[in-house]
Amino acid sequence: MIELTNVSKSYNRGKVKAVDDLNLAVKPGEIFGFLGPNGAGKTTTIKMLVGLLRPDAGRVMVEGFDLAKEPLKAKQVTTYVPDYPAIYERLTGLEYLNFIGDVYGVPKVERLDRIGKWLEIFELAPVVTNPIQSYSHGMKQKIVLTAALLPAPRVMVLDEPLVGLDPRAAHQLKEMFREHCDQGKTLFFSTHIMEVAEKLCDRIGIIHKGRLIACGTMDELKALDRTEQSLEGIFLELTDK
Amino acid sequence: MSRLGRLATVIRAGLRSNFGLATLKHRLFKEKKDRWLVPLFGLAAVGVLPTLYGIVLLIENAYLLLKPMGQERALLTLGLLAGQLLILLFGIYYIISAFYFSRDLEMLIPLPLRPSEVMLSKFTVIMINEYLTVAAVVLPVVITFGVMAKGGLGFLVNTILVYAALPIIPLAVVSVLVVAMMRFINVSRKKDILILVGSIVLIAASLALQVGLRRSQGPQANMQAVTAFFTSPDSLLNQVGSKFPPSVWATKAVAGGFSGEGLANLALLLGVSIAFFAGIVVMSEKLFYRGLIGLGETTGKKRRLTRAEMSRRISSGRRAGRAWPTVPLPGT
Repeated sequence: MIELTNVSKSYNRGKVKAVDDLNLAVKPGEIFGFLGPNGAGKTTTIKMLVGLLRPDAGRVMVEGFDLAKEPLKAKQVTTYVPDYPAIYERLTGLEYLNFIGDVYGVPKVERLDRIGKWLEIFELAPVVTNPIQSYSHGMKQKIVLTAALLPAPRVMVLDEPLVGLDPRAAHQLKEMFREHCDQGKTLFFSTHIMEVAEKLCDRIGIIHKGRLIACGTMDELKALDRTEQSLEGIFLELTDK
Repeated sequence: MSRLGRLATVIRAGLRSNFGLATLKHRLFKEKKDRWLVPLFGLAAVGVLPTLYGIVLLIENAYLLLKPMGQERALLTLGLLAGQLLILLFGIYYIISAFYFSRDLEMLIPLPLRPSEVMLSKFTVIMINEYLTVAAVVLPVVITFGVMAKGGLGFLVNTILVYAALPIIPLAVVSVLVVAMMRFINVSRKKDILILVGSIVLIAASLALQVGLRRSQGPQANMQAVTAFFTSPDSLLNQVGSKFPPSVWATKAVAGGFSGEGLANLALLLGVSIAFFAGIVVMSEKLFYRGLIGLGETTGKKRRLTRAEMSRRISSGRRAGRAWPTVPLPGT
């Protein structure tokens, strides 16, 4: 469960309003796709959700924990995948996964099962004892995703998670998204791939110039504009103002 | 996992990342690259030995010269003080870089870690770096002194403890300065300016202190110091260390061994170091993330260029080509 209430964030001492009075709730078991043109406020919103930025106003709640008042509890139930793999590059893949497992307190048996499963799926098993520095961009993205899946978090927040993934890994990841949410967990991700959002998301939010201009299921979005029936068409129509 | 266990995890990951042991192992044993560096490093180490021997001889002679006047312990103070000053100067760069500009911070902040745990992991990595940095300055002095003074078990134990505590006070001072600066002054993404300003402030403060003390002592003080040098043992030690008392405590702890004076000064040094350490833990919990979060917030002005402005800014790619015919060809 994610709740953003009247959240605002501006840069340059208020001159640039990145997010303007955002209200949004993502329910348990829901895959929520967050769309918007470049510079619309997607990454700013995501960074406020994971504690990388502090909102100027409003409240961010994760699984009932106020991020400003109980950051540790909120972070304990959340994992985050940034739009570029920020990572300890000089650790081996396995050292990094163990580090994440230790921080989130994942028991050894579960750690072994989950790491084994995702390393096989992402075809990282042969290189897991090599330093991350030696990985390609896609491989780094996969190790970050494996780390985010390792604690089996209640909430996953992902910023453009499919960028850099090969088609097989992207397919597996999308299946995992569904599996994750079918267990009653919450998934919030941003993407520019309309097709993915249309097929995968239970609800979609479109942010433009810092304001949430549309939010709902695909059918609800279609009802906004009867002439446009694809998400791409709706997106272009709504953000062309 | 307990708080201590989680702290140990973050510190271990920080150390592994800093020293890149996995990368080194991978390059040397898996990729079998850079193996030529191993004998080169060995050769460099052997090359340092004559210089080290010269330094040890110098210290030995200084010890023999100062010993009859009861001033030999000032050597230790000089070595330890030089080490702590080096820690202070390198510390500015290390702390600003590690606390606010290292790339792993974007990964660490969203994790369920306390600000103090993140900061302490960085602090520990810096401490280990400082041990290595000042070893070349401090260890020759301390070891030579120990051999000359025939230091026993007390000397050895106290030396290890003093060396372990050596960076804490200077690094804590720098940490407080930097964290406070980052909290209250908006210097986002101006790392070089921050390092420069921090260094200038520290050097100016130490010079001002030095000048102030000299003026307050007056010309009479110099005469008194000369008299004291010949009449009272350790007067030189006290004078050298007067600007930074922890170096005096460290000297007396090392030289005194298990004697009452040695243990008392050791307790003083360790106690003050622990107090400083606790101080920065409390401070980091309250202030560290406040200066850190949002440090990367940068936006640019939006302004559309006119066609003429664009034309001035876009290169034609012809300049290098134009220059080419003017270059005389060999043999022409």
